[in-house]
Amino acid sequence: MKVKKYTILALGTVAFASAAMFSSCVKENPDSPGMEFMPDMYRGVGPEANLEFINDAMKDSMTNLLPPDGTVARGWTPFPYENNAMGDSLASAFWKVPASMRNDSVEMEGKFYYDRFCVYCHGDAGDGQGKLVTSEKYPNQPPSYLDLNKKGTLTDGHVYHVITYGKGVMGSHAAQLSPEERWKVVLYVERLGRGNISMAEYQKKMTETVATDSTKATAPVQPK
Amino acid sequence: MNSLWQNVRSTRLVVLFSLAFFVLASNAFAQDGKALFKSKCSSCHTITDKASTGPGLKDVLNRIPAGDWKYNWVKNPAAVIKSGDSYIAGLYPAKFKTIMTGFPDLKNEEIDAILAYASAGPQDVATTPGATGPVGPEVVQDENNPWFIIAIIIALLIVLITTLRFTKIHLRNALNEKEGRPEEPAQPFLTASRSWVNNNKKLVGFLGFFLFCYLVVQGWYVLKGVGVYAEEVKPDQWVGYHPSQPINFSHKIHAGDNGIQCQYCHSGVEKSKHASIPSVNVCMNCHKAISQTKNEGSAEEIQKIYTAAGYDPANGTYTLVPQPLRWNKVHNLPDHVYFSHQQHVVVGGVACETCHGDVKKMGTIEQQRPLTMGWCIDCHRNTPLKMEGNGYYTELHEKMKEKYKGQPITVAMAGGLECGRCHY
Repeated sequence: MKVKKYTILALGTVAFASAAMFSSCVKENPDSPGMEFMPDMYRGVGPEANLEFINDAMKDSMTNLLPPDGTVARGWTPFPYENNAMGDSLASAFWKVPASMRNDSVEMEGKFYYDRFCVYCHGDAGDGQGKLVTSEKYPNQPPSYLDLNKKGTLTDGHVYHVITYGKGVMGSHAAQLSPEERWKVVLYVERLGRGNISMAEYQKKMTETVATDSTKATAPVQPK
Repeated sequence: MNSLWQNVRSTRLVVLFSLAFFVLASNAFAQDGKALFKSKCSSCHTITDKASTGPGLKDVLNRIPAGDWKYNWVKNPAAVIKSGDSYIAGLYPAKFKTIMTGFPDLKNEEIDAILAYASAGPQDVATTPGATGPVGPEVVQDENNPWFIIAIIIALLIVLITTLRFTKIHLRNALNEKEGRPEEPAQPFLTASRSWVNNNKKLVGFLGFFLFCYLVVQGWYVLKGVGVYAEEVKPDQWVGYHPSQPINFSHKIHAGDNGIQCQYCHSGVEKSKHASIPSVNVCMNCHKAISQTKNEGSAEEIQKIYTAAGYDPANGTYTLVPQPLRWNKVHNLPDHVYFSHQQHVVVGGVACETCHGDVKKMGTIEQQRPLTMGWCIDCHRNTPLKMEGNGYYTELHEKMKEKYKGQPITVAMAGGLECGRCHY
């Protein structure tokens, strides 16, 4: 009996020690997602987004491919102006916000997209004092919408052109914003250019300024 | 003597005062120059030697023609170009495609202040690399493979045992010869081994047990590796799949510190089944201008974006051959599960953090939720159905409110547990 007790004790110790030793030897590959039983259930034959093709025809290429030339997405609106200075000036002359969208509620819908895509550099007030600029993480400060509005260059077509193609260091945001969303952003950017007030308030304010300014005999500023 | 001393003192005072004035004045100009530079010039120029839309302005005062040239240029660049200026002909349109906007409102002193500030270059001491330490998780050091060492030991043991066996046989034969006994017939290896096993039953049993333990442990780990899941080791502390990525992208810096919304990059989340990994053109929206940050190793990581996009940072053009990035997918559902981000985020109003954990604190992405069927079902059972703002199912929702009077209405009650809801 006594011998058996010791044997069990010894075997237990050995089992424990070897388990500890071997488990320290097991080195898992952190990139491996683990063993799969029934692999088809994790990887379908059809192409999945952001992965490599697993079928033979397209092997070693990614599923994020550019669409074929000339492809038109549903609901896509053509933008007939080119990515150059001429296209910019033509767009600012002729490319206008659809009349059905030009109202205060759509303007405020633009804030949702502005806060998502623009605010980091252009700032809450559109003055170019975004978080990335004030923290000096981003080296270039964008121009203030208020200044551009005073100069008269903050037109529908120009803002749309800049969102679509980018300007200077700003990149194109066409991949992230659909044409309709771009119009909403355009409307909100113009609102910020007016000092974050609606068109009606702005026009009222401008007529008041013109009235006070005319006493000082300065040239009246045309409301946009 | 006295008057001379007084003279010296007064001269000193004058010098001191003028020095102080000069220092203060130039300081004031520099401040002014910084503010003006930021608001007027920094959308296209930097104060380093790195070109942006326009050239970098470090040491600009040493480059440009002397005299009034700078005032003419800043006030009306188009006129300077038209005049056929030789200095600018080397830059435009050879190196820079855009003509600078004119600033006719700026005074000459203001232009001086701006150029003095820009020409001095960055004065920031905090930009020394390594100030904030490395980004993301530590890189696991490649250790020597223990199995290689074990294999060498085993090989040495085999050699040792074989040598000893032959030595033993030779010695025994030599002894037999000396004592005049007949030579023992050489046993075949198998018979010898069998007799050795019979003689050393305890040792063999021990080794067998050792092997058994080893197989049990290995088997346990193989079973543990089946499937991908995350577990909560402590409350709110999850451990899950955490692969390396081709770029050591830190969500903590981008989404946490900089406060960039998830949807800036994952813009498909409200429009598609997939939130989608952003393509590099989205990275380039910012990183065209940011090629290095204060974090160690940032320049190499950002260079990987340029390589992937085929961007040539020296010329600022996309002329190289783009190379796709092979990201490791972290959150993966089996092929027989149909999961739509749009349905959950837009209709259900579920926050990203519910399924992806606290991404704003992660370096590279780690799976922090199990993503098992049981986990999905739990959420469908406990989450109240989002009814407000849903214009499509208003009538159905009214009927449900009538049917389950007073009870909280969950996703499960609207069919969230039906098989066909996710498996079809």
